[in-house]
Amino acid sequence: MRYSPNDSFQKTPDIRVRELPEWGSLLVYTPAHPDIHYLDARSWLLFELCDGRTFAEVVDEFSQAVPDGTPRDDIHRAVTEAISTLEAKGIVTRTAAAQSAAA
Amino acid sequence: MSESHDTNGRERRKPILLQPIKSWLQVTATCNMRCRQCYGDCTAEPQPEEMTAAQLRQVIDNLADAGVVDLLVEGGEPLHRPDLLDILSYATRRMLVRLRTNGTLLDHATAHRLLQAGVRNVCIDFMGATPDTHDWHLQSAGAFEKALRGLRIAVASGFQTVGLMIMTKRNANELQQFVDLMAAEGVPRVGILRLYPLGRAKQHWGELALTLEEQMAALEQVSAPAGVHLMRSWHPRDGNCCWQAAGVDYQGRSVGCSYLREYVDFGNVLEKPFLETWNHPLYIRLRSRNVPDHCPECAQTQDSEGGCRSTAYAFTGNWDAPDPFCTTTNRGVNLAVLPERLLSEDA
Repeated sequence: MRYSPNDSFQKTPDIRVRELPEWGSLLVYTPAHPDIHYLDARSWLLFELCDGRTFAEVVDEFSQAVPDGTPRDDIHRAVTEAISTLEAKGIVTRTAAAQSAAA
Repeated sequence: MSESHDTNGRERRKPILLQPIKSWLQVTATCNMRCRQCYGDCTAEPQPEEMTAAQLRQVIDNLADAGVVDLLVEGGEPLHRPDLLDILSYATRRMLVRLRTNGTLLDHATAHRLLQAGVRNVCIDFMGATPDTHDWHLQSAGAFEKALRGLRIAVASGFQTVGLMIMTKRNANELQQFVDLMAAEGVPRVGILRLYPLGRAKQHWGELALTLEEQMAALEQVSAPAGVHLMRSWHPRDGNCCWQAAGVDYQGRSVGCSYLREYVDFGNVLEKPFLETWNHPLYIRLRSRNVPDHCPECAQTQDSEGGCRSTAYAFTGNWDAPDPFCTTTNRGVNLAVLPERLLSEDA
C-alpha cells in the first residue's frame, strides 16, 4: 500500500471505541463488519490523528512521538503499515487526494 | 496492574480492568428442551420475573455505558424468545454480540435474520457426538439431528461458529469423536467444558459427574485436528476469569460470571447502574484473584491465580480456596459427589 501525501483520513462513522487506559490500548468495535479490534498505543495514536488530516500531516505529527534520530523512511513505513491496517479493518476511511481536491 | 509472583519467584503483574469489557446476558430462562445438565431450571413458559424487551434494552444500555463492548447472549435457549432478534439488533449497535444456542431452532430464515441483526458469532452446544448420547442429555429424541442441522446452517451462512460440549460421564468417551465431527463440519474453534454444579445439573450430578481422574484420563485421549483450536480449562490452563467477568441473569441480577449465578448477587441492574454492582465488596474480592494456595503453573499460563471461583466455592464453601478441578490443587476432593450443602440449599 502506498498513500499519496494528500490522501486524507477520517475515523469511520458508527464505530464504537472503548478506551483501556489501564492497558494503554484501545478497543474498537466495527458494527458494519462485526468485530472487535485491539489497538496498541501506537495504533491508538495514529487512529486519533485520523481526524481529516492528510497522510503527510499524520506522518509529521507522528514523528513528534518517536525517538529523535528515527529515519524518516522508517516513520513513513510505520505510519503506512498501521494506517493501512486500520483502513483494512474498517476503522478509518481514506479520501483519495483527487477526491479531496474536488471536495 | 497488581502484583504477584511467578514459579521462579519473579514479580508478575496481574492485568486488571477498571471497568468491564465483556459481559454475559441471560435473555431468557425458557427453553424448548429439558436438559439434564441445565444450569437453571428452564421451562417452556417464561417466569413472571423474566425481563421484558424494554428492560433488556435498559440493561444493554447500562452495560454499554459501563464499558462493555463484547456481549455473550445465552439462555435458557435464546432463540426460544420471540422478540430475541429485536433485542439483538438493539445490542449490536454498541457491542459485538455472540449467541450461545442449542442450535435446534436455527433454521435458514433465523440465520438470515441473525445476520441482518448484526450477529456473526454463534456458539452451539452439543452433549454428545452421537444422537443417542446427545438426545439422552437433552431428553428429546431428534435433538442431535436438529443441532447438527443448525450447526451446518451456521457454518454455511458464514457465522464464526464455535462447537461446545460439556463433559459428562455419559459423553466422556465421545470427546475425540466430537472434536473430529466439528472439524469435519468446518468448525475451527471447539471447546470442551467442565460440568458445573448448578440448577438441574445438581439433581442429576450422580449420573453426570466424573471424578477429576476420570476427566483427566478422558482429556488425555483428545487431540485437535489441524486447523482446529481446542479449548479446555483444566490443568495447566485452569484460569481464574473473575477479574474480567460480568454478567446479568434473566431477572436483571448482576452475578459476574454465569457460573456464579447461584452463589452471588451483586445487585439488580434494573435498579442501579451496573458499575455500582461492579463495586460490590465480594465482586472486588473475586476480581483481586488473591488465592494464596494456587497452582503456579495454571497461574503462569492464565495470568490469574486460583482457577475457577465457582467450582472452588461450590466444593469448599470458601471463596479463596484453590479450584479442585486442577490436579495440583484438587486435594482429594471427589468431584463426582456433590457437597451436601449445595443440595440442601435447594431444599
